[in-house]
Amino acid sequence: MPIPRTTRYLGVILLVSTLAGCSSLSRAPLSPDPSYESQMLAGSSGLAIEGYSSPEGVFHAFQGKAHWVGAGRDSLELRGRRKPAVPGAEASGDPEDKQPVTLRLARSDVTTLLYRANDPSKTGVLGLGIVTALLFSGTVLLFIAIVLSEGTD
Amino acid sequence: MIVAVSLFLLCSTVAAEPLDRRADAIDRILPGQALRVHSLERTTEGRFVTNRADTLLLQGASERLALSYSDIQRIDLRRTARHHGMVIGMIVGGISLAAAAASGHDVGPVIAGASGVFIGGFVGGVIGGAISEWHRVYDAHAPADSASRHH
Repeated sequence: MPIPRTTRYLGVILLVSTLAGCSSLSRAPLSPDPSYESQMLAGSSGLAIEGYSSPEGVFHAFQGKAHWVGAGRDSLELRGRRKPAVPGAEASGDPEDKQPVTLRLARSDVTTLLYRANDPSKTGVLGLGIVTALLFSGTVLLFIAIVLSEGTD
Repeated sequence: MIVAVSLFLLCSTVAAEPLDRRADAIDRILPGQALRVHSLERTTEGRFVTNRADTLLLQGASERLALSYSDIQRIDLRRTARHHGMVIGMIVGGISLAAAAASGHDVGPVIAGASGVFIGGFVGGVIGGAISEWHRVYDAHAPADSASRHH
């Protein structure tokens, strides 16, 4: 039986919102060590970021991708849209971009990166919640089956 | 071979360890996050504003405070108790349902205990998510590998 289009869309929306809910904002120093962030920055797709901080301590909101460029990873290229402020931080004074922009920053101009990282405790609670819901529905179905079989006897 | 692997692992561990645990811990704090900073003279609570050079800026109840890195002895961050709640719930749920099943029900204690682990973990995680607690992210007197990596 084919699944209705509306149900498919609802399923996709539910899955995406669930996965999005399992991540939380993280901040990590920009370092050349073989950390997860550094490996992602070196990859072809780059690291999806929400912002970065400068040596002056200003948080710049930037929704897009970041990756290393230049010999010896001396620069960082950001592709995406600037926003006025990182949540919880003071406004940086940056304009809000309507169209994607590309920024090239020297490594010394970026001290930390803000990005969404997987939150194991959120994922754990969600997984346990799904199993709990399945257990409850299984118990209810079993109970209904027992009641129905007793009714037919 | 064993010596080579051991040396490699030792080198990897040394390389992964940040040079300055205090700076590394501060660089991982999010803007607006509640924190408690212990220095030699006093303990300060507030919200993280930013850090620049060797200074940590935080917003206290009435004023903005600048703390030098060299004065900082310990940093605690306010976070949810979701993880602790989940673990406690799993233990309590598992033991409770297994004990209830063992005391004369049709369901086997193992199945009941396993169900209790899932249900208890979920309920504990939800309750823990609504409660916040202090998490130590830096301690000047702690061993190098115990307090720094908190994300």
